[in-house]
Amino acid sequence: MVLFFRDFFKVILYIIGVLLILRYVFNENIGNLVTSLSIVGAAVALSMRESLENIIASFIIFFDKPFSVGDLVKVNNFTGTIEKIGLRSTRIRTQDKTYITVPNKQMVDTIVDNISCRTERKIEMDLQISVRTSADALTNFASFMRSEIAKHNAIINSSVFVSDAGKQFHTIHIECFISMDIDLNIFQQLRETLNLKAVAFAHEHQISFFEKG
Amino acid sequence: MQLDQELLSNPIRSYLYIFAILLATFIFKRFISRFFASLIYTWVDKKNHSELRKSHVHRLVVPIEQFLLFLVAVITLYELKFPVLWDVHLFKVSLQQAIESVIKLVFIILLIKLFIRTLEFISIILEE
Repeated sequence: MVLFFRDFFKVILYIIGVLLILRYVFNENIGNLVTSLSIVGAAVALSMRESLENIIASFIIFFDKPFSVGDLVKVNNFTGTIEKIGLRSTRIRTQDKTYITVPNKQMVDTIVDNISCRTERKIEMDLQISVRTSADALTNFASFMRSEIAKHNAIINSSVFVSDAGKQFHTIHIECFISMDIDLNIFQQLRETLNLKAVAFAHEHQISFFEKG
Repeated sequence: MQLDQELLSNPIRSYLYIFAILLATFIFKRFISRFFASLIYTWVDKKNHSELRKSHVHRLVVPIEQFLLFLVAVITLYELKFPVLWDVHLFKVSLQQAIESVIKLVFIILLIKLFIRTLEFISIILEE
């Protein structure tokens, strides 16, 4: 935000400087000049409509604050960190380390998912179990996963249930929410642990997962 | 040498006074600039981090020095009468007018430069 206002006031200072030079060095009447410039300005504004829209959008970004520098956002299938919010565009460092420039108007008009503002991280798993598995085995599997999840204090909220009983496979749906205070590495370890526990249980109880073809 | 003797429409005493004022400004410009830069720093950084102050204040010292020296030079030189010998015209513009225009131009440039540097100075402090 500071950089934005610095650039904005710099432009204003340059304009004031030019007007002062015209007034005091070249003895031009600024009043007439400003009047004629405002007419020309209206014409220029019409031709530069998009640029002006971007500038206005930048003001909206600064006062509405949907995101700020350093936030992780998802815009138009691009996920990345905001590096700079300029007068015309917003620069994003994507997860592939490329550098994209998005016009501010687009940042205001499109849906921006500010990932940094989320309150919890989510682990979502769909265990696709073979149709040959019995209902009891499915119930045991779901109960086992519930008990495994309950062992981890980091998990704030969870739900485990058989979400689909289908022709091809049955599905056990698992959702866990983890506090943002937990480190990303611990989050990934937890996810891995749950997956490995599911595989181990299935192996131990001769439950097979769905195989395509 | 008579101090009241005239040189280019002005007594030598006036030139000496101006020289003394400019010399004093030249000697004290760094202290005055540091004072103003510190004042702006204190105004922006309420917590007043002394280490940051040391590393940032120098950014504003040079433009304040330049502006101060130019301002004092202009104010003192305006006390002098324009030399009659220099009253020449070029394309309907007198040399006095041309010099005044150049002085105004430099003054505006230095003033805007000072404001921009102050703006950058404030933005750096606020960012940190």
